[in-house]
Amino acid sequence: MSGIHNLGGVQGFGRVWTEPEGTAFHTDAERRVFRLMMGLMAGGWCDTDGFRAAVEGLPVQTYVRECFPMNYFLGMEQQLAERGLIVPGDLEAWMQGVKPAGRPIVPPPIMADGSGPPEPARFRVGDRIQVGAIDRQGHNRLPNYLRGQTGTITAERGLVDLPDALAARQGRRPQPVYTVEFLARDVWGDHAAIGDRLSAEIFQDYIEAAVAE
Amino acid sequence: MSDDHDHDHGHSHTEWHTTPPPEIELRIKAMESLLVEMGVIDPAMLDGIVDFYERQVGPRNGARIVARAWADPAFKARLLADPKSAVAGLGMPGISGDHVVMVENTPSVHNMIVCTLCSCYPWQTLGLPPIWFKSAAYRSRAVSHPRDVLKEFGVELPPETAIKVWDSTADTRYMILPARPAGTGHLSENELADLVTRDSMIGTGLPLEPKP
Repeated sequence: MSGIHNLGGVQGFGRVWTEPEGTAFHTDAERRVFRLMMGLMAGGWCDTDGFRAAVEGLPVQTYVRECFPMNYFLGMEQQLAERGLIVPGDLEAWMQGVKPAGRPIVPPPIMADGSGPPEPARFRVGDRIQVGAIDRQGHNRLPNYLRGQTGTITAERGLVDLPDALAARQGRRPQPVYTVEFLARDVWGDHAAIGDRLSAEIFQDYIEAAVAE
Repeated sequence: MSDDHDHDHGHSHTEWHTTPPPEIELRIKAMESLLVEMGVIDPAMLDGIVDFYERQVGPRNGARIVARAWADPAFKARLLADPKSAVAGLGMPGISGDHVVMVENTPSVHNMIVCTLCSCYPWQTLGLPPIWFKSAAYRSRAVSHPRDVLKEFGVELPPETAIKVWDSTADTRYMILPARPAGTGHLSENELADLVTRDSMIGTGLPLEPKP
């Protein structure tokens, strides 16, 4: 879906700044949330696609506050609620000393059974392709700024489970991913320099059709 | 723009983007203690993971890879062809899982990496991403106005150098192999590594010039 997270080409966020290297975590909250995330991922209580979908789905005002540990924490809360481990009200109760009871010991299944067969590759390196123009509902990995654009496949990246289906809990749909190169002028018009290029990883599902030369 | 630049609310950028409101801080701590109490997470294991990301991976690993590639053409060829096996021999944490691709800067093409959809980054060779890499300011304009973004990092490229921006939208993670600065023929591999900045491996910077 065209959420606020789909940021390529969006105006109004101001100048970029840099920061010295050498600091992995800048605050205690950042370190804590990272630790939790790693632990929950390792235990199967969080999954990448569900987590991304949850963070992208935060209210826009929250997302653009860009407090990263807060956004990740709120995404994690949704992941745990989905699995019935920590549900709304539990943290308030725990802060009063009441431990929730009857919770799963291992992560319950959240994904629909079954996996689609690997989708055969319909394109190959050198093909000109057009990316689908229509907005996709739900979590997906198609940048808005490339919708409807025509580019050239420069590499095949093997089979990857379609994130849309994983995030929607519909099961695995392994399919080819391609690296596709676009001319910046095709995408942005005259303000882009001649010769500048863009490259993105495009799932086969996002490709509309091959384009004849 | 330096990192101590005031944000809209009188905070530095780093503080602003990494300090949750107090009620969220409390909830984070409560979740942590509850998950430990429930036996869902193991604090000792998590300390090990944090230590790994604080001490064992980071941009100095990437800098060593780049310096080796500058010093050893055979290594560079292997690195560009198969980063995983090339890095495996360097005595640092290896590349596993994500598909890592090295992209070489040349006099005619300057490369930059971004993740416009979230914050995908080559953790395994550069460590955790800097805050600005995750910011809307960078993610929105790196693809549409890369030359303006580079100027904000203090980099101005000649107009004949084309820019190629790599948006990490699936499982491939890109790292830039910057061009070796002139006048470095006499430097050791360790001295070369000191010239390789994190930003030069993201493509928002160039390597440092050698001290005269």
